Amino acid sequence: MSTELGKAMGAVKGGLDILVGPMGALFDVAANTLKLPPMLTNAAKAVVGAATGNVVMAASGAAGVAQELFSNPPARTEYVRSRNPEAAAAGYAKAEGRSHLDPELVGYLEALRTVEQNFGWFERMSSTRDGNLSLGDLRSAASNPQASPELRKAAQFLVDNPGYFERLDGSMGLGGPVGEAMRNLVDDDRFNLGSVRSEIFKVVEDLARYGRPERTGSRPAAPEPMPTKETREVKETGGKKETEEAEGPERKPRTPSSSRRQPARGKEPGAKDLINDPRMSIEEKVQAMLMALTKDLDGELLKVMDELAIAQGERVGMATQKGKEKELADKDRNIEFLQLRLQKLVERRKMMFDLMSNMSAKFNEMAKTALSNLRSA
Amino acid sequence: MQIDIETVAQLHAFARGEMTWAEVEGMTAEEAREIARVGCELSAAGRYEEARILFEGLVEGNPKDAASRAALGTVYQNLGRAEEALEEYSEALELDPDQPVALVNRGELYLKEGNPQGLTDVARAVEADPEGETSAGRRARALVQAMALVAHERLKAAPALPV
Repeated sequence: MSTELGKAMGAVKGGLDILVGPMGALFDVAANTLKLPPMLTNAAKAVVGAATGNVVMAASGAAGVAQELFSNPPARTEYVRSRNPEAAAAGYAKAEGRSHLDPELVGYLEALRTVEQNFGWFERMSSTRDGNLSLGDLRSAASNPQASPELRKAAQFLVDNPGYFERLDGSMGLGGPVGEAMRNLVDDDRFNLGSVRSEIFKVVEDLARYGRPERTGSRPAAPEPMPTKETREVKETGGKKETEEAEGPERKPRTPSSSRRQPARGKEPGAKDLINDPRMSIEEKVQAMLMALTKDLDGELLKVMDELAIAQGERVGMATQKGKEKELADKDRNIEFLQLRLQKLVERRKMMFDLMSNMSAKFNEMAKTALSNLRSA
Repeated sequence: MQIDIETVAQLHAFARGEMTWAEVEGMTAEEAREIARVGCELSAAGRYEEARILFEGLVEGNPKDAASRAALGTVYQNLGRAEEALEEYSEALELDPDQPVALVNRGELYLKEGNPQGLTDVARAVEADPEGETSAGRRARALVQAMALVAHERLKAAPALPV
């Protein structure tokens, strides 16, 4: 390519003085706007003169190139690292243990996954069999010789870590004063499948946002959890790859409802990555952030829909049973609450879409104005 | 004042040129990127003096970082300090011969001086960033396209060579 360029420039250099007069002045202004090196400006003048004699026609013919030069001005400050990761990190301290999250959070996530995937088994072993598990149920599961080591370990983790059990017990997936009030209401030392899923979602989100903490050596590492889609995503985020090999005692094909999950967060760039990406303009960053937020919202929507489907299923199962009027009323309240939440989320989703659409229109308008100004210059 | 043994060893290594100050301070590449991001935004806002301070700090902290050197070069260029900009670009290219920001900007500065080495730099910038992932790469490609367009038209207009 360099040889061709050399030839081309040699040809150009020979005819620099063809263009004179007002057209040359006009091109000078245009080239100055684009901040082209004088060598190129002169060469362009030569072409304009030789090819058509019409500056406007020539300029419009090269509009694509001119636009590219205009949108990528000279000496734009960029921080572009080498593609070689070793070279890019040369001279800097090695990043290790940067996450300040509790190292036990990873064990908590593993325990949650095990409980989620084997909830039916835990429930059958529970004292009440009403879709809720208590600390006592977990204690008996942890010492149940019939349970697999994975199940015992997960139950033991929650028994040994009362802080995490309390967190799971009060998990509602809601923020604000309403969420706080609801958490107080459900803080009855019992949790259901919805709470487990809500917690998994939150922990995965925290790990994606703050990084995976290093496990401490004080406790023996829990065995690898049975892989679900989410587990694989978190593993990939941590730079590991795992194989699908474990089969839990309750492992069965996932229903379409339970397979609807939040988007693959581990594969998506985080907000920090988007902000830090030097290749993106401010407009692109804003749009990418909005897109990421919309994806998060979609994930939340799907999660609430899952919870609603589960709650409605449980409600139907309970409707025929006598003596469960109070629980039925609780379920109804829960369903109404979830429906309300779903409605709010749909409204927020619509607002986000409108916002994105408006922003796209604005950026488009700005670009058009800039081009129009360029043309009239 | 007491300094632990590890810090003393690191300071010795720094004095011998075996470690950078960034390594002594424990600055990671990710932290440097955060600082550089602020520098880029300051520069984009036209606050070149502030951007210069940040990038000079980064280069002092880790002179092995070609990306910081190239970015500092662009700030110098925007401040009208072309000589220093050229020095930074050349240093960056010593460390990373495929640094697109250093290549295209040094190429343009050379072209302005009438130095044909500029053509090689711009062409190499295109090769270094063939997908146009960076603004520098896209500018290099546009410059090459402009040159090729110019040359093509000029060759068409030139009288045919006798066979």
